[in-house]
Formats: sequence, structure tokens, C-alpha cells
Amino acid sequence: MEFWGFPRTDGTAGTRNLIGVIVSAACANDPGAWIADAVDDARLFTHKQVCGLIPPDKEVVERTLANLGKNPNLYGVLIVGPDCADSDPDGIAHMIAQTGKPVDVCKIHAEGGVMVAVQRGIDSVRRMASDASRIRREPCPISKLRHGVECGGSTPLSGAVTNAAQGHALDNVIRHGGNGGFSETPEVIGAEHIIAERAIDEEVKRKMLKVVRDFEQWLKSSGIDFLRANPDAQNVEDGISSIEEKALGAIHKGGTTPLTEVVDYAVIPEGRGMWFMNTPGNDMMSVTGLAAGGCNIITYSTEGASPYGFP
Amino acid sequence: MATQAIVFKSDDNTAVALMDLAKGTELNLPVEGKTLRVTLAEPVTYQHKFAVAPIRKGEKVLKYGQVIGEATRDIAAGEHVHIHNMVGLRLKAALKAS
Repeated sequence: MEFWGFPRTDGTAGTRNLIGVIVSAACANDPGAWIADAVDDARLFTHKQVCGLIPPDKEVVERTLANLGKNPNLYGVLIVGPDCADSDPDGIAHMIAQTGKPVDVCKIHAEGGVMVAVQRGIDSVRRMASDASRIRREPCPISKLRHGVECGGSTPLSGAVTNAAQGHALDNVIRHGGNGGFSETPEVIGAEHIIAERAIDEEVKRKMLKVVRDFEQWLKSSGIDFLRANPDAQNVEDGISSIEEKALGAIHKGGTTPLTEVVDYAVIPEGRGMWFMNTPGNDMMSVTGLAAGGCNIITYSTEGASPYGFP
Repeated sequence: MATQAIVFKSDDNTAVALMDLAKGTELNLPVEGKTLRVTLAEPVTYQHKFAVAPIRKGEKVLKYGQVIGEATRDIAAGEHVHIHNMVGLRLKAALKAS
């Protein structure tokens, strides 16, 4: 089986052929938006992180930005940022360039100020978009599909309807040699033993149980009464009676194949089959993590009608 | 007629209503080759659960063939099952600890 994709130099394939405009620090969000707005095929990636980050936050932010840039759905990337070394636009660009895709850096101070930098950025993104437009879709093997599954707004039938459909789709991708997975660690609390039982070996099983236990511990230490807040009022009104019932509905989207790998936030999985990414339960953070993990297709089921999308 | 309710696995002692169901509704629910006969003891709203077998206080409540909690009082077949008569095991443990 094949899909129509855009082949990339590093052996991956995109289902989209876009240019990423990634800001290295939040102070460049507006200039980044002005650049991306000027070109049809550009997609903007802003965030709230500024200079002065310390580990482990700094490492997670840089990894997320760099791995988003590596996503095969992006033909090329422009990094926009201030010159200060702290936000390290060159470092992020360097990491993305390892894929062999075109990467340009627009440092606002060095360019001579915001307006000059924006113009230079637009020129660069236009050039990349023009080059990208010469690439045609061609049949690519399913093994180049990385399918992220996500759900939001659970109902008592999520596990039987939409998440069952997503799980079935993920099973199909994996059966044909592709890979994919799901995320949202706190949403798994109450059903982690079922996922862990599907692990290919003891180490993967241990890691699955550990990420859930650590997350639960972290929630407790921040003083959040997670178990009394989840299922939430809407879930209860809809008929979900316990966190176990909610989690069992959520994990249906992971399909039925063995768990091959557990990775941290925004890490690119090896992709041998079904994997789990350790992310927060917030849809936006979770889907961003999946995209940084290299998913070139993400499906999202929502009975509760979450308006969230991703470029 | 449209399917009124669904039982996911033969081990389950609950079914999920696929439409608003009135008190007294008589249901024949197929599950894995068997048919469960249940008469609703009270109205059950769309997507809410009801017992398809008696569940004694302290017994496990099952959906998807998995434990979703335990009964906090005796539940008769046909009764609505929700937070008023069941509790998740994690929540129960947390309540005990606090």
C-alpha cells in the first residue's frame, strides 16, 4: 500500500509541503507572524518562551522547536529570532539542517531592525515556497507514515465510536509497515496497566508505568486534586462515572498492536510500531509534541468539539 | 428499530444507552452470542449506564470488559449506574488516604 507524499532528502515523506516560520524566542512572535502572513504556504510556529530559560525547560523548548522544524511536512524552515545567544536561533537551525532540508536564519538585530528583517524573511520564505512548488506528490510506502492519534472532549462513547475508529486506523497504518502513537499521560491514569501489558518487553513496560506514576506524583506535589477534578463536570453530566472509565475510553485510540516504545515530550520515536509519548493532557501541548515527534498525519477525534487545529 | 443500548463484552454488568430511554423499557441486548433481557427500573439518559445484572455493594462495575469502579450500594438490574452508586477505584483509594 502507498500514499501520495512529498519525498524528503532524509528518507522521510511529507503529506504537506509547507514552509515553517519558527520563532526562537517569544519576543520575535510578531515579526514571525508578519513574515508567515505574507506567504500562502508558510505556517507560523510561535510560543511563549523567552530568554533566561534554565534546564530542563530550555532543553525541552529547543528540542520541540528543532524537531517541529524537522517534521517532513515542512519543505524548508525559517528561524526568526533576536540575536542574543540565549535563544540560540543558529543552534536550532543547525539541528533542523541535519535533515538536509533548506533552513535559513533571520536574526532581527543583525538584519538591521524589525522592518528590514521582516522583508528579508519574506523574501527567504517566498524563495523556499517557490522551490517547494517544484516538488510533486509521488507514491510513497506506508512505512513512511507516522500517525499521531489524539482525542479531546471525552464522552462515555468515545471508546466505542471515535476512538475505536482512530485505533482501527492506527492498527492499519502499523500493519502496513508504518508507525504511530498517542500521548497525554494524565489521560491514561486508571488504564495504564492495560497499555503496559501490551509492551514488547519488560523495559518498555516499566517505562510506561513509570511515566504515569511520575506524572501522578507530580500532580500530587503541585497540590492538584486530580482525581476529584477528573472526570470533570461535563464528563459526569455526559455519564462518565470514574477516571478509569474515561481512561479506558481514551486508550481505545491506541489500537490493539504491541507497545514498542515510550518517549519523552517532543522526542522523535524510532518508530518500530505503536509508541507512547509522555505529554501533558492539554490537547495543544500534546499535538505539538506529536508533530515534533515527526507525525506527518495526526487525527483528532472530539465529541466535545474542541476547535484546535495544527498546521 | 434503532439500537437502544449496547453491552460491550459478555463480562460487563453495565450497558450504555444509545438514546434517552424511559422507565419500564424492555430491552433484549445481544452480546457475544448471548441476549440479555433487562427492564429499566428508571429513566436512563443517552450515553449513561445501567446495570444488566444485579451488582452487590463492593462488587466491581465492568464496561469494555474492564473494571471502571465498584458499587457503593446494591444496584438492581435495570438501575442507572453513575456516581451516586459507584466509585472509581483510584478515587476510592485517594479518599481513604486523605
